[in-house]
Amino acid sequence: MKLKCRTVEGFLSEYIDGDLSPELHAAISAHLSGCERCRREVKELRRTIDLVKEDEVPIPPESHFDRLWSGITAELEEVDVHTGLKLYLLRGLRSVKEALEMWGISWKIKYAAVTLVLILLSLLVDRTLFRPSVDEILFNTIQRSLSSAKTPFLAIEVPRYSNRPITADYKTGLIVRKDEGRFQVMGVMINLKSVQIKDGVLTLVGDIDLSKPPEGDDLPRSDGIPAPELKLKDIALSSPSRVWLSDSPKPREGKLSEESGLRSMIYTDTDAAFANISIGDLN
Amino acid sequence: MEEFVSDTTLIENLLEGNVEALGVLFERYRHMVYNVAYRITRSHHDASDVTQETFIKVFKSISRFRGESNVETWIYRIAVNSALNHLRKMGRRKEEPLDDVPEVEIPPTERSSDDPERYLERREIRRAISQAMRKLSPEHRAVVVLHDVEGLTHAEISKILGCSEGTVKSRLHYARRKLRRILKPLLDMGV
Repeated sequence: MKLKCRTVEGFLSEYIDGDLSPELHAAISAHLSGCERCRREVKELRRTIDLVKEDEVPIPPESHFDRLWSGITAELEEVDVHTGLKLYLLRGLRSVKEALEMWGISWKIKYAAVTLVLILLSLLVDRTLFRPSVDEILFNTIQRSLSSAKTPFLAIEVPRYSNRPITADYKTGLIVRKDEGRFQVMGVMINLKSVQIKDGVLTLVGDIDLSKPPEGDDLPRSDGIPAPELKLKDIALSSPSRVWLSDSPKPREGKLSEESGLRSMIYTDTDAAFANISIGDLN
Repeated sequence: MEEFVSDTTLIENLLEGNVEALGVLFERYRHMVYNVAYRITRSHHDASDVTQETFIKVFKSISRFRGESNVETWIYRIAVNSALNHLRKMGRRKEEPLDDVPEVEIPPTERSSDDPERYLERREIRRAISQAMRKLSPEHRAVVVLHDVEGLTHAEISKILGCSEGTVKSRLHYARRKLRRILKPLLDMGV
């Protein structure tokens, strides 16, 4: 096989490395023996490689590497928490893997099981741990409204035909009976512990103190008999019964607030906390 | 005498979040990492950055170490790729002065106080080689370093760089011929 210089040049690097087939290697050797120019190129290439090999790296002093290590540890402090958590989870997963392998369960099943567990956990966390119950939403709403009102008032209005119209004022602790447009004081609620609405029944749990006098001339005083705790329950409420919070005993209309959609209708007016909660929507 | 801890044990310790294990790996492989980083970047500052990046990557990606290669090879591979990424990130910069390593130790072969002329000659040769290497692209330079200096095979280089063996051979061929052309005056002087 006779080769031209141009062809040989294309193979010289591999020729030097001994990476060519025996036939091609022999053909190039034959060419080189008769070509001074290509021989010189091989020689120069070999010398070039030797020079590159001789190129030494200036070694920094040990103090320089100490500084590099300080930089590394400083950087690692920032990633340590994240990586530590990752490694912790990884170790946990490895333990699970070893256990599953001991039981002869394949990786595919393991991944499916882990995925399922993660989905269930995320649902549990979302639905159970962080999602407040309707009672909590209502209770928090009432508390928030009362705390921002000048003269807060929690009122429960029941249909006209009901014979047990009761109104409760959480903050000032008034429990009044609404009778033909007038409010009759039944007692003082010291502490509202919970608000529950179930099956159309509103249950308020709190401490009642009948000894505290009401404010306002139109509200007769209580007879002063103490009642340490009283459950206001079994108040028959049916649509369109309403509960409202107000800075006055009289419910007012207001704008729909952003809290709507929580299975309740909450309204607030501009100058005072005021909520109108539709019990019908809550049921 | 301190007990020798194997690389495998160090990796296990590292998986436990033990940063001290990384310190031992750093002690063991810092020169190897710095050397290859310097050869590829041709800069003391870049090589220092790459050395730090490499060991931080080792720590961060320890969970991905599968044990298919030995620890040294794995760290070496991270170092090479960190050096190339570093250069890509920095973009092609102007040539830095060769004396960007003011605090480096002169290699033993160059400490030739007995023969000042020989010392100067070697310094000029080193400068010429360094300038020639800088004129290669990072990819071509990496292939020359890995093959001709570090002695890796084409297959090993292709694995590290993530390209075919054919590409490695072609880059090596191109790079060597370019170096030869640049160093021609030196070669003609019989160096």
